[in-house]
Amino acid sequence: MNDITSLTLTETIDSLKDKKFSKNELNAAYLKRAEKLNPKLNAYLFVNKNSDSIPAAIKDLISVKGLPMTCGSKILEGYVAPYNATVINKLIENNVSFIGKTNLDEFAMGSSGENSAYGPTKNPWDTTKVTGGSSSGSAAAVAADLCAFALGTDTGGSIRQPASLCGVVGLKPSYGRVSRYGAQAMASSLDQIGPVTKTVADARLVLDWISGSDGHDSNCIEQKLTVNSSPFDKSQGKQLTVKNLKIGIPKEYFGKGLDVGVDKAVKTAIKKLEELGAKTVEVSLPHTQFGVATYYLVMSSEVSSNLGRYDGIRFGKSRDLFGAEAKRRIMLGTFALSTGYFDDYFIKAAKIRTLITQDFEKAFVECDVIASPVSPTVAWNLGEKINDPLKMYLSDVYTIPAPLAGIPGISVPCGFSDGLPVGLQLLGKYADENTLLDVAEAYEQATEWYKKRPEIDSESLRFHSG
Amino acid sequence: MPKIDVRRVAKLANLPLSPAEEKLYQKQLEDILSYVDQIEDKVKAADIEPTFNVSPSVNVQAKDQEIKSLSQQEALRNAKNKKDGFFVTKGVFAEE
Repeated sequence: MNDITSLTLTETIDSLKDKKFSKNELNAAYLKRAEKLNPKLNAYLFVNKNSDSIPAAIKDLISVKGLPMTCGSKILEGYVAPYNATVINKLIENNVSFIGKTNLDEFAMGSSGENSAYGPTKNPWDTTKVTGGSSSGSAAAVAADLCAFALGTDTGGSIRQPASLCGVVGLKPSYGRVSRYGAQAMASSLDQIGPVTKTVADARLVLDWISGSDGHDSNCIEQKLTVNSSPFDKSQGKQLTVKNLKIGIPKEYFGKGLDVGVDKAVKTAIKKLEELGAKTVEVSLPHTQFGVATYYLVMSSEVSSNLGRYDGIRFGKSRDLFGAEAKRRIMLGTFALSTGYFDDYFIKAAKIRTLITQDFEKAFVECDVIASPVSPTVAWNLGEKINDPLKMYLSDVYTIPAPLAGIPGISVPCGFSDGLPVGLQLLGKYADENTLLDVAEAYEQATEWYKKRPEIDSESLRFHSG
Repeated sequence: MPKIDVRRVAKLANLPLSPAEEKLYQKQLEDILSYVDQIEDKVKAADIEPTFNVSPSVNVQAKDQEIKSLSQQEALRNAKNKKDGFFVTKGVFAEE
């Protein structure tokens, strides 16, 4: 076997079945690579040498019993998770083990990975660039082949945006698709756990494993999704067609602020979908321009409440150890909920959330999925936006509306601009992950961008690994 | 007069801030608020129902049954201050 770690999850499972290598060889290969590359990338906060099955990387805000969990914060330094999150139990049932806990913006708050108390994750395509965030380590670990797949969480784009900036697949399921029990709560009306993978077929598989209610997350949809099997399953001889599907193009997602190279890559991708038989229609999401303001009020309000639990009594250290972004959001939320401002900020934002949701409902009368960019730019330089929080917030403009409306979204690699990956965002109707995955996979299989991998200069690692 | 008083909000949120932090966050939060104020100025939404949750589920109740929970030892594992198998908390009525 020449390179075990370059295999996708689906290929890994097939190879194990065919006894091409053992689980021990599989884990040894990934551990060796992680040991070599992690000092350069800082994707893992903890590497688990006892991983003995299919090695998954888990965002370090999801509890794995007996492993440390920091949530990227100094407050939880030394914390050891006393129980498994539901998604972890579901993965164990499917022969998955956990090779590492991945770096993240503190308590999942950030768009660059730089808000981690343990240093930023570096982008495997160019280590002077950010990975995006907040699931920074999960996206980098998948892009650099440090795991077979990863889990992240998405509140305002935290799976899709780093997936886009690192050139991998990232799926945010519909709100309520996956139980959040055992995951740190950031903004409870928005948070979802989802897969970060090398291919769309892998994302299907992981979604199938982790979805379904457990009685511990009362927002979870009772009925389990039947995930379509991959239409490209060669053994079945099936070929997927997107004929007769209508793809909505929201004009508000292609306006001012969108980088020329990203615009070009995304429009070329849409053209490809047309070649594959899809019809495109222009749709309008008129309240998009208010998405960022609405999101930052709704999310911060929920954050200020959820982060109240860090009182240093039952677990964790004292509140002065929160990082700058956590402090800003706690204060913004506390303000938005305070007497005299509650109606003008929190309630007003909740009303605009209704308008944003209705925008999508109207658009989905005209189309089956919506196609757009994920991020207005490719990965930017480390440090570039860290002192300007508002500028950082505005980079989430295309990913924020979906969680406000609860709908699913996926980022699938669609080319490069300035040598850095660009992601195509596809948004689906509520609870219709299957159509989303079908379109994403049809595009992926017709273009094969996923076969492009970063060339990580292993020679220079000797100098950086310290 | 700026809308937000960072010192007051930090006290409400139980966040200890240094004077330098107060100054920095006052400026940054004023900038952020002047951006989010556009929802005040530009959107008419008086008759719109607010959305607090997008889940279709209603009145979900837990099953009325015993389930296994953490042992006392496991629950106390991550606590810094404990005494006789309990968490040590701040005094409610006394100034410690």
